Amino acid sequence: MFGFPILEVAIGLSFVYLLLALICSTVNETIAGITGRRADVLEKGISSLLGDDPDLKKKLFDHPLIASLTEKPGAKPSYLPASKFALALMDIVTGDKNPANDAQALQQGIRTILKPALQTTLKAVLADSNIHLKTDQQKIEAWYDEGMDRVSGWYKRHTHMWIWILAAVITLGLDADSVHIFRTLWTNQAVRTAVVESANRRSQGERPDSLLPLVVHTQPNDPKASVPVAPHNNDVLTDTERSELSDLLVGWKDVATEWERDSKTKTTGQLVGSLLLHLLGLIFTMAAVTLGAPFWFDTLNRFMNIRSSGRAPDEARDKSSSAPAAPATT
Amino acid sequence: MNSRRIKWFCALLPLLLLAPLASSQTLVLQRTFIEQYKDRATIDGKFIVDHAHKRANPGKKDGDLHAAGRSNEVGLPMVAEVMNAAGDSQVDVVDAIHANEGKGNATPISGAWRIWFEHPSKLPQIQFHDVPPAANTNPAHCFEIHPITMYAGKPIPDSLREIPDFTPKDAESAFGRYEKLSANLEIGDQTVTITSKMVGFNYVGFVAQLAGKRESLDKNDAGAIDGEVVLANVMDNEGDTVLVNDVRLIFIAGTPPAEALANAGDGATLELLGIPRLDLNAISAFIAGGGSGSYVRKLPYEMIVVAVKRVDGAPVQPATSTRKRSHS
Repeated sequence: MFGFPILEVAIGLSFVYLLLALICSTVNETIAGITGRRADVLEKGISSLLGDDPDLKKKLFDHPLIASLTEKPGAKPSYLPASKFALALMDIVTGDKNPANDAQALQQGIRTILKPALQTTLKAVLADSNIHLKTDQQKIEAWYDEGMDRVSGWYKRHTHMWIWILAAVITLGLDADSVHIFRTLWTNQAVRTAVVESANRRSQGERPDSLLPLVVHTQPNDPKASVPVAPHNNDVLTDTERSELSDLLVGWKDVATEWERDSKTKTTGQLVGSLLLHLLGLIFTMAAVTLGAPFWFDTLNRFMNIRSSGRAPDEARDKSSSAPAAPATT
Repeated sequence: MNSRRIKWFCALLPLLLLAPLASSQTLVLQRTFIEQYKDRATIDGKFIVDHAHKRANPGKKDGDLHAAGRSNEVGLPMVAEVMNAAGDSQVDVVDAIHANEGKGNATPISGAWRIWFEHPSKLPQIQFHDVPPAANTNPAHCFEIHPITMYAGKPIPDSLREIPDFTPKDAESAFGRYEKLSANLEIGDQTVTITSKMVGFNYVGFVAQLAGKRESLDKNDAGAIDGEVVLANVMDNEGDTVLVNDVRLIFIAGTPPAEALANAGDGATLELLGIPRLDLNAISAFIAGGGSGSYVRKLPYEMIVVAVKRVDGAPVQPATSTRKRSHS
C-alpha cells in the first residue's frame, strides 16, 4: 500500500495506542482485583457517612446482614444495598433487646450510642418531611443513597486517577514518544508496512474485553440454551506485536545516546526544542492511552475501513479486505 | 521533522480528545426475578397508574401512550406503554388508564416486560426496594411493560402492528449501537447489579432470517404458553448484509406477530418492527455456567417483535386503523 502514507501512519499510531491501552487496562484490572479497590472506596464512603466512628463502622460490617454479602469471612463487600445498610444500622442503634424498627429505641439509641456529629445528622435525616419517606428506614435509605452517589463519583475519579498513573508509568517506562513513533512510521516504509499488517490482523480479531458477549448460542434449534463465553486472551500481545512495539519505541538508552551526540552538534536552543518535543510526545501518548483499548480498537477499525475503501485502483485486494466483516454474535 | 509533518501530527490531536460522554444507570435485579422471567415474553401483575399522557403520541413520534406508575410484581420505577394507542381497539384500555390515573388503584396488567437503559437515574435502582409514586409521566426508569397486551381485563393484542406514519430506526444504526454497548455486571448470591450507559433506539425496523427452530416460551401466570422464541440472523433494511448472528426474537402469544411466525416456514425471511430488551436468559446462563463476581461484557439483548411487515417478501398485515379522539 503506497497510496496513503498519512492514513497508514494514523493506523500505526492507533495500533500502538491500542497495544499500550491493553497493557494499561490489564495492569489496572489486576491491581483493582488484588487490592479490592471498589470495596475500599465503599468502606471509605460508609466511614464518612458514620462520622468516621471506627467502632460503629466495625459493628456495621460485622453485622450478619452485611457480613453475609461477602464470600470470605472478614472480607468487605464491594456493593451494599441501602435496605441492608439501614436495617443493620437501626439494629445496632436500637440495641439487642429492641426490634430494629422500634422508633423510640432508635431515637434513644441515637442520643446515647452515637457521636455528636452523627447524632445531629441522623436527627436531621429522621426529621425529613418528604412525603415519600414514610418510615425511619426509608429516610435512612434515602440518606445512604445520597451518600453512595458521592461514593460513586469518588470511585470514578479514583479509577480515572489510576488509569492516568498507569498510563504515565507505562509511557515513561517504555519511553513511548508519539513524536518519535510518528517520525518512524512516516520515514520508514518497511516498519510502516509491517505495523499496518499487524494492525490489520488485530482489527480483524475480537474486540477488547469490554465487548465480549456473556454467552453464545451453539444450538440454533434451542434458543433457550446458550454457552457462557470465557474471557479471551486477546488482551495479550503477540510476539510480532511486541517486536513491532519495540521497533517503534525509542528506549531511554537510545535517548541518552542521542542526547549525548546532539549535545556536541546542536545549539542549546535546538537541544531545548528537542527535549520539549520529546516531552510533548510523551504527554500525548499518556493522554491517548487513558482513552482505553475499546476506543482505539474502534478508531483503528475506522481507519482500516477508510483504507480498504480508498485503495489504489491497481492494488490487488487482499483476502482480509475483500471479505465482508464478520458479523457479531450476541 | 518538517512543518508539514507537524501539521499532520496536529491534525490527529482532536481524535485523542474525544472521550465518550454518556450518563449511565445502575440496576440491581433479584436473581429470582431473572430466573422467573428469563424465558417469558410477558409479565402479569397489578399496576398503579400515577401519571399518564393525556393522549397518544402522534404516529410520527411512535404512537404510544405512556403511563408511569408502580407494580409490586416489578418492584422498580416503571412505565407501561400502549402501542398504537390511538387505534380503535385500544380505546377502552386508554380510557381505563385515564380513569385510574392518580387514584392508587392496583389494576391487572399484562404485557412484554422490558428492561432497557433508556431513561437513567443518577441513583441506583434496586428491585423490590420501596418505589415512590412517579412524579410525572416519564420518571427515571429502566423497566417498562411495553407493549401492554391487557389492562383492566381488556386485552389489546391487536395493538402490536405497524405504526402508521412512523419511521422506525434503521437496522444498521440501531444494531451497530447495541453491539457496542458494554455493561458492568456484578453477580452476587441473590442479586445481579448491572451498570450500563444510556441507550435509546426503541423501535427498529430490520430484516431477520430465522436461523433455527422456534421454541415455546415458559407459561405465563394464567398457565398459558407465553409466546415463542427463535434465533435469527439480523440483516440491514435491504436484507443484503448480516449485521448480527443469533439474536433471540420474542413473539408474544396471541398477537399478530405470533400468528405471522406460525405461518412462516423454517429459514423464512421476515421484515420486522422490534423493541430491544435485556436478555435475562443470557445472564441466567452465564451464572449457571459459573459466572460470579464482577465482569465488563457486552450488554446482552434480545428483540421483542411488535410487528411483522412481510414474510419472504409478501406483506402480512395492514396498518391498524386510527380515529381521532378528544381528551379532556
